[in-house]
Amino acid sequence: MDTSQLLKGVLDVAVLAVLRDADGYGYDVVRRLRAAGLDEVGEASVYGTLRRLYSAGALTTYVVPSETGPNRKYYSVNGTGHDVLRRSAKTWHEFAAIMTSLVHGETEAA
Amino acid sequence: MTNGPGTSPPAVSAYVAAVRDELSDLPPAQTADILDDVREHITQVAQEYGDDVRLAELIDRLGSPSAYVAELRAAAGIAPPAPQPQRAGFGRRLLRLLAAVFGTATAGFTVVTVADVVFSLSGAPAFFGVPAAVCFVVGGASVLFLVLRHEDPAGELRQIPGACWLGERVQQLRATSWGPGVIDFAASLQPAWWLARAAILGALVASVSSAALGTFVFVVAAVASVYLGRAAARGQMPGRRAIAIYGLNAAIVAGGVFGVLAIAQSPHDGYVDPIDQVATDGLAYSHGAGSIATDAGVPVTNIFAYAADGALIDQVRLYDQDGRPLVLADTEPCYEEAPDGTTFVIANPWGTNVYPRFVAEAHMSGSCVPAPPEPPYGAQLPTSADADDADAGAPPAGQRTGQPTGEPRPAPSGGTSAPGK
Repeated sequence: MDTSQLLKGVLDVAVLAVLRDADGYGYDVVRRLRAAGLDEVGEASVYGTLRRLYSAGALTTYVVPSETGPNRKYYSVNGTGHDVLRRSAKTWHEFAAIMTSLVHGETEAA
Repeated sequence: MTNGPGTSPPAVSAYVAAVRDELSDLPPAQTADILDDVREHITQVAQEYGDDVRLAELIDRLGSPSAYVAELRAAAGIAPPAPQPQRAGFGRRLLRLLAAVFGTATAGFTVVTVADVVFSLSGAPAFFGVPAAVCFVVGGASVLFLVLRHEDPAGELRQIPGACWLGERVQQLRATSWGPGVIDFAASLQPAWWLARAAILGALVASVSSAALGTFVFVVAAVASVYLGRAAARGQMPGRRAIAIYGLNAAIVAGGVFGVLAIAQSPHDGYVDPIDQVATDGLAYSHGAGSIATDAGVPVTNIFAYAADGALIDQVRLYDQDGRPLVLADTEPCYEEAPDGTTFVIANPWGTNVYPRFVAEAHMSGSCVPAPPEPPYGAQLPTSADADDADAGAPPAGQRTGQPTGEPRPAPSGGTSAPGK
């Protein structure tokens, strides 16, 4: 199964999750997601997701000058973001549990 | 917001510029904001490839700028650009302009042509009719090119300059008290058009082949036309096929207009062709040089040679002063269905410069039958006095040299113009 299809639904949670522990700029988030094993994450999708979460009020930003290029816009999870993440995590766990039991049962049957 | 734009490798600038183009439908502030992110992102990626990063490497990594923007917009929840409102290519805009200009020109020329025909102003309907038909073909082709392979044909048609204005006029018409009645009436005439287009097709076929084949085509086309028309009227026609029908309609109208113009033109051709024919035959006389025509400009179609004694010379071969065969222009060949009694001159089987030429006459039965040539003098021969005078100097038939002009001529030579037949 194509991971990129699955990712579309949960990229919000993934991005919030990697920003929960430490603020980061866009490419930082891409790197962390890759490091976590999400190799197929689309870079433009990550930037788009950050933009949407920011518009939704789940993230705040601040700009840090960079020596090697353009200014870097750092994102940090605010209160709303933490709430969103908590609720999303709950939904994810339930969903994952259902999927796991479903897929597990199917493989046993087969 | 950029720090040191001079340090950006050209590939980065190119990629960011392409992204900017893809975002052009958004408000400038939002575009600028997104571009800051994009510039930051692309710069980061480029650093992994070194200073001499190539655009191809960026595209390989991130996808094309348009794909990148599409992905970013999808993830950010920004609506994709409206289906090409102002992003139409130059060719498409040119086609729209052509469609508008030639559509208007078609309407204008058609009105003028109709007025011209109705009031017989110029006497040559083709003068305005041909431009109308040409404009119709060009405009119709432009519309077809616009609409074909377009997912929203109706929307595309609305993009044609002036189409909105036309739509508004129709709406105004609908709003009047009598408008809906007129529109309903026009719509009720549709079945007549179904038959009319089949008739035009049949008439076109008949004009290039035979009446029988034309009739056959008309019957078959009428059945198909009504069937298609009813299907289209019930809305059972998929968009593509409906467009094809519009194209077919346009082609039939254009064909009909050209056909009518060709027919309207033909009597005129009847006068011109024979003279031109001499030139194109590569024969001795071309129009002007030979100028074998009466003072009124009517081409001479036959020659009757009389001997000095007044006897009609049959089968005389004529040459000019240089020994070139003296060939008159061919007249229209005898055609069936010509009005009864119409006569046609046929080249003499002995040769094109042998006179008098034969004559064919159209009969009521529709066939062409050979008729005896009618010599202009008929039984009225030149006077015996003339015959006596001319006896001595009468040249033998077939002599090629020109006649001395000073010699007194007997009546027949001077009679070319005198006896009006």
